[in-house]
Amino acid sequence: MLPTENPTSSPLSDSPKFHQSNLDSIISSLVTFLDSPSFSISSSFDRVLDNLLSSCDVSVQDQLVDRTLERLSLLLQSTKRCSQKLATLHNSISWFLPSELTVMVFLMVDTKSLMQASTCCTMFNKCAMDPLCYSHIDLTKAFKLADDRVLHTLLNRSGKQLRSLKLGRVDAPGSLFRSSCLPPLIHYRNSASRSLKLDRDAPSPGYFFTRSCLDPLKLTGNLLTSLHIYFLGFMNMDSLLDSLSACSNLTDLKIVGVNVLLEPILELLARKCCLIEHLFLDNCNQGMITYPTIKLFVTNCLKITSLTLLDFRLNDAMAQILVTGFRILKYINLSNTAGITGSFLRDLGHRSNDSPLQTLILRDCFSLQEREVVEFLNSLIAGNVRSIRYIDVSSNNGLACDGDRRTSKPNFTLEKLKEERLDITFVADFPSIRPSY
Amino acid sequence: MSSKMIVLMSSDGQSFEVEEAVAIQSQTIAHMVEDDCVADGIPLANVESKILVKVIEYCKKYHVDEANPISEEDLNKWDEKFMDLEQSTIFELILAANYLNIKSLFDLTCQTVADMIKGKTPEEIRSTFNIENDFTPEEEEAVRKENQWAFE
Repeated sequence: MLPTENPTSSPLSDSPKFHQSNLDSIISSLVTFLDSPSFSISSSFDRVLDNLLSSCDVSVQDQLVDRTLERLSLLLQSTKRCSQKLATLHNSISWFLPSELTVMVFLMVDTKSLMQASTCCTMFNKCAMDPLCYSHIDLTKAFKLADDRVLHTLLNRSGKQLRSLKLGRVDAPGSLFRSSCLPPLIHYRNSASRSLKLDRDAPSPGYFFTRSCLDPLKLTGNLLTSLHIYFLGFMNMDSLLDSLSACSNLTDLKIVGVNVLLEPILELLARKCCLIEHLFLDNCNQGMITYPTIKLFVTNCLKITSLTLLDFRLNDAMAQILVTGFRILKYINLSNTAGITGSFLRDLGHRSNDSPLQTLILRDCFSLQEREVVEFLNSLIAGNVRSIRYIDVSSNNGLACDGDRRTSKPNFTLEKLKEERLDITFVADFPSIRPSY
Repeated sequence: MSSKMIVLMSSDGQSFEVEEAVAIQSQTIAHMVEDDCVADGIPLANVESKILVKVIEYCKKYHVDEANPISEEDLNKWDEKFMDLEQSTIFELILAANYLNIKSLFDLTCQTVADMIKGKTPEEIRSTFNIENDFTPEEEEAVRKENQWAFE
């Protein structure tokens, strides 16, 4: 029989007869007694409280009400906590992998899906915060909301594990637009909340990354091996160069739709990122390039196997250094280089066996001469450049001939080439030249 | 030409005779073979027979036979069929592949689970894996906000 309380007397718990076990039994009874059709709980609560309140002084009534509310609030919170613990336990039974192995699974999930998973339950959230999960950060699939702050957060989470990073928008509509140096204005959402401050670090119109968004790489970039940047518009060159100089282990660099200047980038790679193997730069800003820099690049970056430089101000002499200077270069793409006539191909054509080059792409090179290509083909037919497998000289403007003429039906001896060098795929598409005006 | 056989013993007492060349795809077993302690069979206390059967099936398939090479495409199709299993079995396979240190099986099993997570909303992920939301409302709000960019 439980001692009942007289609301006007001193608190029950002061009585020497009231132990913790009594309190426990009260709580236990409240929670465990079963519903029954003989009495309604809600009207019982009403009745008891009414009785208690009516039988005590006004001064005590408020106390009683407050105390009841407080106790029941505590009971509610406690119930929720216990319920959460049960849910956590249930989860650990449904998903019984230990956290190290859960992290290995999360490693294979792309960054965006990983964020979705992290809001599923506390266990997933904890595993999703492991730095290993952020070794390959790809923000290109969520370009609409990714900004500096997001990048910063993810880079922080990656700790020392960052190995590859991709940002920007891969398929920006302007990607087909070759000669413009301004990124197209793309309006995503109403960015009124991101007020465009007119200072050096303001985001380029339509993009949420600022000009120095890669600054955090100065701290975390030293084990980064791959960096792809797409259409971030105007970047602060100093900031970009500083960030890149911290990435001494970079092997794969791709920059498209950003105002890179070739000269400082090549110089930086030659001095700080000598392990580079794949370089892809799609130009958005014409800039001057010097021979010393190209030579330094070729001398220092011995591991280059693939090189793509689109729409830069290179001439034949520079192209020659690039095509023949690297020891293990397999792939080169110098499309949209208006300054080359193809005379550099002579040197390439005279090398019999020592060039490892497999792919040569010179699409839309306006000044590329028909006779240079013909001479090159002849040296291939004669058996030179044994390693080459794929050549592309297609152009929307045909090839240049003597004087100012152009041809869309050049004099290529393709049958002979097929005969002698079946291993070579030669692509030369020249849609009919439209008359220029 | 006779091939050397090893006996693998599951946690529930069943024995399986397997070619040594097939079994050493498990780095764990390979080390034991090197250390020459396989004479009485290898007890695998962490792998029960139901799972060991699948592991052996996988290792047999991936034991490359020069005479009968399999195309990558065929292997991928086989992988898909092989991984058509209950979730708990897939998890057990992850644990076994990890314990036995069979990298390709480990990668395959983890990738299978990762593919079940990709592209899904949190509700869908919970439903797939029978997981409950054990965040407090405040915690959930905070986590969502932190990763808001992924919920466009």
